[in-house]
Parts: sequence; C-alpha cells; structure tokens
Amino acid sequence: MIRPGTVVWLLLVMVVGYAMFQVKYEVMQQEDTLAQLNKQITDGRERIRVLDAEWSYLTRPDRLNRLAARYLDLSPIGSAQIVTLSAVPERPGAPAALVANRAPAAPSLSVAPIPSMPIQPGAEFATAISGIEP
Amino acid sequence: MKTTAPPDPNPCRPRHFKPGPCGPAPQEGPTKQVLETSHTRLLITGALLCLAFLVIGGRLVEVAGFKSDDARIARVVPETHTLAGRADIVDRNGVLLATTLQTPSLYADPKEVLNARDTARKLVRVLPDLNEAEVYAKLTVDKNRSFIWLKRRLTPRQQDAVNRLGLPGIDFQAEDQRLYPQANTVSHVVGYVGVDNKGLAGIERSFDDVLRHRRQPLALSIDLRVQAILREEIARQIAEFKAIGGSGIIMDVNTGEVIALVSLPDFDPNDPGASPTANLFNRVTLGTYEIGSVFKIFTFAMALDEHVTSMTGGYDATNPIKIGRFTIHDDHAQRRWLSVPEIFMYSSNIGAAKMALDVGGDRQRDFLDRLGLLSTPKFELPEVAAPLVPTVWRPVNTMTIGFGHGISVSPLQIATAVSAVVNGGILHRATLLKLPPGEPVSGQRVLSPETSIEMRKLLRLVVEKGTGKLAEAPGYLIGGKTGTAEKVVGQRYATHLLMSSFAGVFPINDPRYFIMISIDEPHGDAKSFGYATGGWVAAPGVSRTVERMASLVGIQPIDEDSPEIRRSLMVALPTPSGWKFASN
Repeated sequence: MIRPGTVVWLLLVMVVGYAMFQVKYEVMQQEDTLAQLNKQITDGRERIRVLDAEWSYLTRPDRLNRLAARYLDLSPIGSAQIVTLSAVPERPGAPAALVANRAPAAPSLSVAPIPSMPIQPGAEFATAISGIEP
Repeated sequence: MKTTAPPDPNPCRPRHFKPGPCGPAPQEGPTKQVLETSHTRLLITGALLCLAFLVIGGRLVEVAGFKSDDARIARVVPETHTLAGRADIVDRNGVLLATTLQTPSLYADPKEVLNARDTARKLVRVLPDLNEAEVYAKLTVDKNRSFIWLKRRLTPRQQDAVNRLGLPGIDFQAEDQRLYPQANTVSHVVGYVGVDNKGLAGIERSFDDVLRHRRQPLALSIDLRVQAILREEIARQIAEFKAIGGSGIIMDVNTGEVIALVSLPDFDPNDPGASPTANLFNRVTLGTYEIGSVFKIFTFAMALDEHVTSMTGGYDATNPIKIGRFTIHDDHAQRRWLSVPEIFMYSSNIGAAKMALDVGGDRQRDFLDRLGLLSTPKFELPEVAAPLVPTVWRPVNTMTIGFGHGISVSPLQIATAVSAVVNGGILHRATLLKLPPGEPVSGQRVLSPETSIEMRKLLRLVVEKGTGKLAEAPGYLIGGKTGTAEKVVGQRYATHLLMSSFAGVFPINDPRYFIMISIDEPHGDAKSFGYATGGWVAAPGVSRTVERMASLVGIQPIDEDSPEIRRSLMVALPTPSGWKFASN
C-alpha cells in the first residue's frame, strides 16, 4: 500500500537526485571550460613573450641603423639643428595673440624648421617599402 | 484488507503457539521487560541517526548556500601555471635584453620505438645536424631506459617536421630557453647562462638567485641606444687603427649609474661557446691598465684640494727628471716653466711628477684610496678585478703614479673617480641597476666643490687648446683628458704597444655624463700622421659618441661662445706679456 507521504518523498528523492546530477555535470563542464581558458591564457602569454622577444630582436639598434641607412634619406640630428623657440624668427603677419604668447619664449627645445616639400601621395613610400627585407 | 485478522500483538511468538482466546496476552513479567528495553534502544538509535543526518544536512546547506574559502583554490591555478622560469632583464627604458621562452626538446623512449634503424633514418632526414649512427646507438644501446634526449631546443619548424613523421616512442618536452635578442650589443653586461639555465657570467650570474625567484623584469641602468652607439664608435676606431680591442664606459656622474659598458671584441650570449675565450673577457671591469695621463686628473685634483698649489702656480719642466734608473720626460715637451693649467693642457709628466712629490706619498695614497682607486670596487658584475698597487710607496712611485704609471686600475674605477671629481666632489658607488629617477643618491664627499669647479675648467682647457682637441663636439661642451700608456710586456714597457684613452665629461659647465674610450694597441695611420695617442685615436670616438647620444638623453646644445659660458670656464694662462684669459 502506498501512502501519499511516501509518494511525496519518492518524488522529492527523484527531483533532488536529478538536480544533483544536473549540477554535477554542470560543474564538470565549467571545470573543463576553466581549464581550457587557463590553457588559452598560458598560451597567450607565451605568445606575447615570443612576440616581445621578436620585436626586441627586430628593433635592434644596429639593424635599424642598417635599414635606415638603406631606405631612409635621414641622418642623425646634429647640434646645429636644435635651437630654442626664441631663436626662431617670427613669421610675418602672424596673429597678434600668437606673437604675444610666444614672446616670453621658454628655453624649450624645438627642431629647426625643415623646408616643406610637396608630398607625392604614396608613390615614393611604396617604392621604399617594397624592398624592405622581411 | 479490512477483512483480514488484526495484526498479531506478539509477532515473536513461535508459529505453533497460539494464545488463548480471551484477548491479548497479559504483558507482564520478562516479556514486558524485553519490550521496554528494545523500545529504548530503538529510540536511542533513531535519535543518533537523526543527529547524523542533521549534521550532514547542515554541512550541505553550508557548502551550497554560503561562500567558502575553498573557492580560492580554483582561482590560484592560472597564476602558478603561467609563471615563467626566469625573470627578464630589460634596459632602463624597458627594452628586452634577456628573456625566457618555452622551446620543445626531442626525446625518445627506446622501449616504445618499433624500428630503431628506420626511426633514426627518418629523424636525420628532417634534422640534418643529427648523426644517424649516434641516434641509432641511443635508441638501441639500453633497452631498459625509457628516456633519452635526442636533441635539445628545436625550432617550431623542426618540431612540426618531426611531428609529421608520426614516429612512435619519439616525443617532445617543453624546456625553458634563455634568449638574448640584442645578441652581442650588451654581452658583457648581461652575461650568459649554461644549458641548465644557471647564470655563468655577468648579471645572469650575480643575480642568478634573484632572477630565478622574481616575476617582474630586472631593470638595468644601461640605455641600449647609447650602448649601441658607443659600441659602434669604438668598433670604428678599432678598425681604423687596426687595434686588437677597445673598451668604453658611460656613467651618469650624479648617480653612478652605468649607461653604457662596452668591451670589444665581444661575444653572442646566445652561443658563448662560438667565440674565442678571450672575447669573454670584460676589459671595463676585469681588465686593469696603466692608464697614463688620464690619471693626472687625480694628481691635479689632489694638489688643488690640499692647497699644495693653485691655478696660478706652476713648475719648471725644462729638464727631464732622473730618479734611479728612470728618466721622466715629456711627450709634448715645452722646455720651460709651466703654469698649472699648462701642465695639464700639454700633459707634462715632469710637472705632474713634481706636483705629486709636493703633495707627498702618504697624502697621495689617502686621496686615491678615498676615490676608491686602491681597492676592489663593489659592482653588480662578478667579473671585477682588484687594482695593481705598489706594495711599498716610494717617492719614485709617487712620481710615476702622478702621471698614471706604476698603478693599474680598471676603467670602471676611473669612471667612478672622475665622476666624483667633476660632479662637485661626491663619490657615488658605480651601479648597473636602474635607480628610481629623481631620488637623491647617497654618496660621500671626497673633495671640495671649489676644487671640482677648477677641475672642470682644466678639463675644458685640454679639449679647447690642449691634447684633446679632436674630442670637441660643437654645442655639447666636452671637457676631458687624453692618456697614452705604453703596455707592459714581460718586465718592460713596449714603446710601440700603446693603450690610448680619452676620458671626457659633458656638458662640462654642468656635468651629466662621463665617457671614456680606450683603444688597445692602435697603429697610427696617414690620417693621424702616424700618431696612435689618445688624442688621435680615442678622442674622435668620444666626439662622435657624444654628438649622437646627446639628443637621445635630452641634453640641449649650448652656445660655447655665450658670455656666461665663457666666464664660467675661464682659465688664466701666462703669456710673455703677462697673464691672459685662455678663453678669450
């Protein structure tokens, strides 16, 4: 004979059992995900280290020197190219406010003006970079 | 169900016994006692079980419902997983000088290898630097071993090639490998490690323990850009004058931080075994040299600080000094009475010797000791040499040491001591570690600020009018002293084997950096009119290095001819018509 109480308990046992296994599988799945994420983090960090080392290797001063000498029309800055802001002559017809602001020229560094050149869009640059070593 | 008989009041009765028909059997006597006992026992057991379930239930509620400390275990895991084997070494701007990467190494499990001959043949095909016979021997010689290295540190490409073979019993194990992306440039500073990643030289050795247990990178005082410039310029001078080697050091005079340290020839720390052993020698810290006239800086600082002479004093340098079997003579002989600035400018040995003798041996020894020139310097590299100092300090020693002979010190010691002479008189310990910027650095006073200012003037005079003219770098106001020493071979000085140096400071009106370049056994060429002295060989290298590094370290060029600068560096020189200011 099955009393209603027993039925209730049986149902409860089934529900609890189901819930328990459900939670257990969920936890297992989460743990898998966690392990996977941890591995991804480890791999990612290791990759960053490799890239750091490679970046450092590729930006060695002697290599940059060599490449700059071959592909760039620039040379190290000389002391004559560095002047104080106050030594730069005023541009004729500059707005009065600007002139007033510049009057108490602080001894800050500025690079001597470079004669402006018409920029040819991309053509020169493209030929310059096409030969860069890998 | 209702129709069945009422439950038997005494279920324990034997089946053949039937109670009488008149109602339930009277419960008394032994039967009643037994029943009561079992009742109590049942109650106790039930209560215990209830209690146990309550405890378990309570624990369940606690674990499920409240956060417990156990959750932390899960969170710690990734951190420990990603800990690198050995900390990185970086320069003062954070540029990587040494790092550790995981690289695969190839090993075999001979028990699992099916066909040793076939395996060896296939492996050698993808890894040509392996020897087939050797691999075969490794795979067969000891069948009981289950682990034997075949090749350490494969590239990812090689690993891929081996994986494609799909050989059983062949596998990889990740190993930490130390890498030096800058190769030769900072070799003597950083040093190198052995196969088991134990530091064997340089910072790798002296900070072995720290690097093992540290996670943040170790920041050195070196500036890689300046280091590369100095190395290039020294290499250029060595090539031009067909020298056998050279060294250089740049130091921040106000903190003692070493900004660049170069010893040539050098080596690749990624493969130190590939270079001759001599290349591993660090000339800056482990080499001690008779540095020659550079040492006059200390003689003059000492004489001025002890008030033995003054900027207007002088000595007669007409005739060479004969003492015992030595004759002291001048390389740039003027054959007349010379004032103190002139003695420095023309680098007169006679004048310096007389000056040293005037100060006296005891005071000279005390002074040099205060500047750290007589004891082994404390430094972060394990390769540090003790100076060679005479055991008995006779007058002749006093005189020769006065112009830099008869005492051997390392360039590192010179850098530390000259920095103290020009920075206002405070001696800072040389260091290879980056100091926190802006914080005052402790040091001890070794001479007066007035002497320091006088020494700056003298050093500037050498570059402006004396033996160091080729060190001039327009706008950066270099001051310095040349030095040319004959190398000691066996027991005697070899006249044609020179060590030519230039020690400079810039900007001299407010010193920031000390720089010294020494070239070992240079040979004069047509461009230097056959000279191989410090002023011809080392000074041009200093000039170019300063010009290239100044804008990198944020030094603004100044107008040397501006009245303030002129006045601050004025030195009076005697002329036939009386004293005249040198800088006018």
